[in-house]
Amino acid sequence: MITITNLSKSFQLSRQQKKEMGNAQHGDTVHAVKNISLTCQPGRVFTLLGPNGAGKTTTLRMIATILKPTSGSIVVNGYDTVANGKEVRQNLGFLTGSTGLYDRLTPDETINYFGRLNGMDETTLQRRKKELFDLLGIHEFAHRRVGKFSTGMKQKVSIARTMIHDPQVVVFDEPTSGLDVIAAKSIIELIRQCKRDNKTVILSTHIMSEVNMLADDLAIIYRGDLIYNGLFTDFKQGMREATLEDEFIRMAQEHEPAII
Amino acid sequence: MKNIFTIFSKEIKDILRDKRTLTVMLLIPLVVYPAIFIGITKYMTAQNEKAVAETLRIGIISNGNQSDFETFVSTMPNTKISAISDTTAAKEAILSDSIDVAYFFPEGFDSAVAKLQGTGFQYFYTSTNNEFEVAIVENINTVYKQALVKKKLAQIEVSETVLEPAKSISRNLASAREQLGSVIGGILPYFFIIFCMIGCMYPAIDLAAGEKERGSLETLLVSSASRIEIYTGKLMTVALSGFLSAMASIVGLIISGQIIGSDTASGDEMGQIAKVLADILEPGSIIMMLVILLPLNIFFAAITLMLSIYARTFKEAQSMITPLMILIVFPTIIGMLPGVTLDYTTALIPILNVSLGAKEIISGTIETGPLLLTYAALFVYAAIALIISVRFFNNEKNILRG
Repeated sequence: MITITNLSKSFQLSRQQKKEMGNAQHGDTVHAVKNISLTCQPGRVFTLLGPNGAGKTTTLRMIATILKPTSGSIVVNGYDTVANGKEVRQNLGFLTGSTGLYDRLTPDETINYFGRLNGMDETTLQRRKKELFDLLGIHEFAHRRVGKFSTGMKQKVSIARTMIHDPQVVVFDEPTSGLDVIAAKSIIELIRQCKRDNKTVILSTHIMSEVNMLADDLAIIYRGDLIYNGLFTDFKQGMREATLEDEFIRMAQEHEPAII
Repeated sequence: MKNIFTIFSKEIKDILRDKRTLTVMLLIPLVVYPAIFIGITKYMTAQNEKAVAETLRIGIISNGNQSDFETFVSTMPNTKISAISDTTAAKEAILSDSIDVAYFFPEGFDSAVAKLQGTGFQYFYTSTNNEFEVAIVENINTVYKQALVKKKLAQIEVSETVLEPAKSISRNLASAREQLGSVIGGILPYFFIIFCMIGCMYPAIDLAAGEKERGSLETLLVSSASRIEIYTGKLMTVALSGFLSAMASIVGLIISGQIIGSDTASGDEMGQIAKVLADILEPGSIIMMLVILLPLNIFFAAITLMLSIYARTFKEAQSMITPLMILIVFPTIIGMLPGVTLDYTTALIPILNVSLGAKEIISGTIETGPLLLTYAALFVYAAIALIISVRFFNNEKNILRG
């Protein structure tokens, strides 16, 4: 379970960043996330929807302890992300569209590496690795170096790395971006499996069809503000436009009419 | 601690599989540089031998003088004498490479010498002649003039000692190690400082900026390993790589020194230098140098890792770290200059203190005070670099800059 309370994150801009942003930026600070609160329950897919630059990745990075909140708090399975970072990470899996693998290591070595870093004992690690390799069909290329793998093969290894320590909370940050249809389908299936396994799943995306397929709970984040937070079924029932895309644009326009 | 070891082992495995890093870290200092060193020495030796065996072709314009110059030159080995009619013919012969040098004796040269009237002869050559020919010609001139003086003194029955009533005899108390060590001792630190830096450079770029660019750093940060464990594992890898590279450069130099030294044909200056280089590296000196190398190694590892963490991409890290080489080469070269010694001031200047310290360790002239100050300064600089580097790694702005 993830509980986020009054979470904010601001970044100080360097002179170079200010220059790059031109007139779009006033002042020295960017407020990436503004005072948001939400709860993600186990056995449900919590979907964070928003355009690029809305603050989705910043929020997920704070959940994963990569970034520290400017204010507010995040509690993951009873552990505060600032005070108990290690415990949070032990309970957490993090998957992005970029596979982020080591080209000169084999899948076997990669999974051993992350399993050991996550504090797994050798017996559990080898058993869990075998289960995942069976499930994902990694055995046939388990001892070849990752460098020359196809995107699909890399994504399988990336999934195994995320799930090796059997995390109770799984964070997906735009996990299908840049993937082909087959690789993307394996991610969708993984998210469904996590839900069946009663894990807490938080999925960040800007792809409406994924929201439609997977979401139990929905939060829409726009320019750092949470403009919707509730059940996805309620959201659909309350839609004033015919499609999700149109409804999303309408809400964003309502929130900041001058920009859309 | 377990996580540090896990990260360290993985990073070592990773860099050992990277051909580019391996080439720069081990192959170049261990094989390429010694091969170049041996090649140059062999080439110089061969050129020397060739020059010594070559015949010096001398043309003489005697102008009717019966001087004993011709007799004198004919006693010298590898000389061939020919008569030339005038200076125009002499110049043509030199420019067309028919002769190497032409001597012109003016009319009345013999009688002027006999009467001590003061006269002279000219010799023509081109400055593009090789240095061995020039040296032989200058030697002929000196010895010939000395022979004229001796002959005249004998005629007037005056002892040769009139020319040098008192001789000055120098007795150099410096040992062979001190004399040669002060000259060639600068070469060794130059090699190990440069290779220590190069050895740190590539793994540092790959392990921080490279990981950031590939997206693997983010996944590593989400593992249970703490940030300081990740940093330490990476720093240890970078430092070990720099250390191995520096050691490889020392081993490479020793091996090439032994190869050249064992070659009987290399009795020349280069061969002797190489032989001494191999001889003076006894275990005590090596241990003292390793103690200097260790903090320097950490200093380099911390700085390269810090810049690499800050860089957005592999390329940006390369362009940030490469100019550092100039900052390192400069004090290293200063340390090679004669007259620059390790004292309480130079011991505080990073890199220069290593260069000078190693030079004096090799030549055996190191003093305890400046050496201890060098160690202390290096450990302090390494600690400062480490603290700044850790802070860089812990700063989320740097780690996610991209």
